[in-house]
Amino acid sequence: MKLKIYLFLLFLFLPSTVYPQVGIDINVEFGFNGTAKVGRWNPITVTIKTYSIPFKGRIEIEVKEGSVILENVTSVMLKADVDIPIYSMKEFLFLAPFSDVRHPIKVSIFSQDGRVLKTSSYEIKELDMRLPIMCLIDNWTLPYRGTGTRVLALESDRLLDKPVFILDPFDIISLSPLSLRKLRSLLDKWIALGGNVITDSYTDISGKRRNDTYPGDIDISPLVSDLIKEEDIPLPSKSFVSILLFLYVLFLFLFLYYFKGHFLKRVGIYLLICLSFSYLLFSLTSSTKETSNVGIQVNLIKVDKNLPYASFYSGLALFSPYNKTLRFSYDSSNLVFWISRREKRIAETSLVTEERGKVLAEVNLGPNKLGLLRGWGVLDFNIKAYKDEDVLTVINNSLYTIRDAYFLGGKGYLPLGDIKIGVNNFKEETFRLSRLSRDDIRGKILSWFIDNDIILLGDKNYILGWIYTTPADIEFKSNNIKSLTLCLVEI
Amino acid sequence: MFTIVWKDLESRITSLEFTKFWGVSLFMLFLVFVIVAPGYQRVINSFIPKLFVVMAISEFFVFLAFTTAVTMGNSLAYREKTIRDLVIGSNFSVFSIVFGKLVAFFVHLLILIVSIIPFNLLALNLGIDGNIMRFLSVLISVDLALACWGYFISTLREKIFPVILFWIGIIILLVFTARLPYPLNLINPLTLIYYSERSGLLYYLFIGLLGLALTFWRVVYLRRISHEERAE
Repeated sequence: MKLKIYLFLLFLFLPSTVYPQVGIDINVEFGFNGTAKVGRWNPITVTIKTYSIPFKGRIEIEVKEGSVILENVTSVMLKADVDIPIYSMKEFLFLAPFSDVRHPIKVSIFSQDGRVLKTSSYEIKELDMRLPIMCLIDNWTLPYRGTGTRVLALESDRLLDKPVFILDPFDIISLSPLSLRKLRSLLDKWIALGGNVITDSYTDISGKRRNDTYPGDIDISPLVSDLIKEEDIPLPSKSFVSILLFLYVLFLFLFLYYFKGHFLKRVGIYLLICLSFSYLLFSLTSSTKETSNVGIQVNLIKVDKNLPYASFYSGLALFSPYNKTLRFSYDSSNLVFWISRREKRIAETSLVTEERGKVLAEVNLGPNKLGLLRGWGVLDFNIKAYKDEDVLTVINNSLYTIRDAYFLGGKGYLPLGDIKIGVNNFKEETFRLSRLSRDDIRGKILSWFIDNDIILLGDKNYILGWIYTTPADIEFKSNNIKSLTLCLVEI
Repeated sequence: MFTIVWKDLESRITSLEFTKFWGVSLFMLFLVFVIVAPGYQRVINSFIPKLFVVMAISEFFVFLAFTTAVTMGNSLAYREKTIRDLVIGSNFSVFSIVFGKLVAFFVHLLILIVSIIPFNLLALNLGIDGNIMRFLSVLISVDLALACWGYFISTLREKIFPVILFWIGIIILLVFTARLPYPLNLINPLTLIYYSERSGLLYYLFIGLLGLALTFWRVVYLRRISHEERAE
């Protein structure tokens, strides 16, 4: 009889323990149907389907890099809050670099009360490292591809309204002119990032392979890591705080020494003085931690001659002596940010996927930890430059005025001043010798780009200029972030 | 007991010697703050995080000086009577004398702690997050435990040798216990303050109770002697 009662009670409790598993369907897909490419950004798609019970929880993806032996393991958490009503299905797309074969990529789905509902992990396979991927869109004819290329067939609908980095695993995309029109904007951005698109099925693609985007051909993080170490962090005036504290000690002493009243009165006034000064000093210094951080962002914009887009590279260094979290958001349809070089004392970073295509980066700074990130992407940036004998015409259809610009040729440089929005004409005068000042921050940045062969002096003609505001696609939630963008227009 | 607490507090708080002592102590804390507080910070080479700990340890030493000065018979208040004076020269019960003295010490300690709050709050704002409540609980527990031993020493007629022993004990407590293996090293108050730990305070319960028991034993003994002398 007792056993029956126990079984009955167990039966009553059964639904509460199993409902999260039976109430929703969770599917995790790494890459495209398990096809991924090492050294590139790959999509991780989490699909959650609800039935009669709504679901609230969160998705967390941990991507680790670095060596355990060298103690330089860094990890980035990709996060998204999940809130799905009954009888619906929602797809969550994350982009992560598959870069380190030593660490699997781990996906966990948590319920609202923090229970793990599902975990999946992806071990990088040998094929992911070796073989290029060709993507056929909308059943287009297979071109001659040589040997060893993996072929993946996708419908164009799957790529519509997706971030440009979803195409990153592919070395080449083959599609019909009709599909090309459908995906025009996305493919143009991808071409600006170095992608190959073919619409002719007779093309031999065996020799066409892209460079890896991650870790990227241009990495500005070493530069910002060095630049931030020369910065000072603003703190409240030490002398001001010290004078106030001295006044407190003096005032308290003089009161205790000269006041001759009843001892309870003495204690009362003493407490009043102590608490008043406590409040005053605390309120005067309470904003110190909020404002005491420093950050440098150096960006490079390389304008494509043939497209209204520019490839964008960014290095971002953040520091605070206190335990605090600095946040910035960016437009995830065009940009990606990731933790930087594998070195010690790099701050933990989380990338939280938000609504409307935004990602919020949270960098947990602590004492002696540097937040170091690097970013890649494409920006809507339309500047064209033509040189007709001794007249230089620059048509600036971007949102920005380019400051302190100059024309950089093989023989030397010509200062142009500011390039305003609209048509700008400059008359070429005598070239001066190209002698760059390395003293100020702009000189240091420029000479670093030249030393690292990002700007090839002598080979090409450029227009160089600076943008001193943060690009519109990035928004910092903190002050004291210095943003310098070098704009590079090839002529 | 209330009379003892009242009189003790009154004599100490109105004492000019004590005012000077505390004024000098606060000025020394101010100097420590001026030396340690950062004027500006360079990236990575940051001393800011240690500000709260440095201030807390300095405050601990100031209160250590206060505890020893107040409890061991040199109370800095000329009207204050020691336990020995009260046992021999008054009719207060043993319980009232010992606990009256201890409560007076505790209340005075709390009053003095209020005066160091500006230093702690500034260190909180200009340093990393320190746990001010945990620090104060360590400070109060350690000082109360040492006060029990200080009161025991104040009951002795010859004080030089016990005072030397007391200070040797404190030096051992502050210096040598730090090298003990975990969790024995948690007996060290500086370790407790540095790591913002509270689990080592159980040791101080036993240290304090032992000191209190010895004080009671000594006070009962003195009372019996004084009764016998009076009877004679």
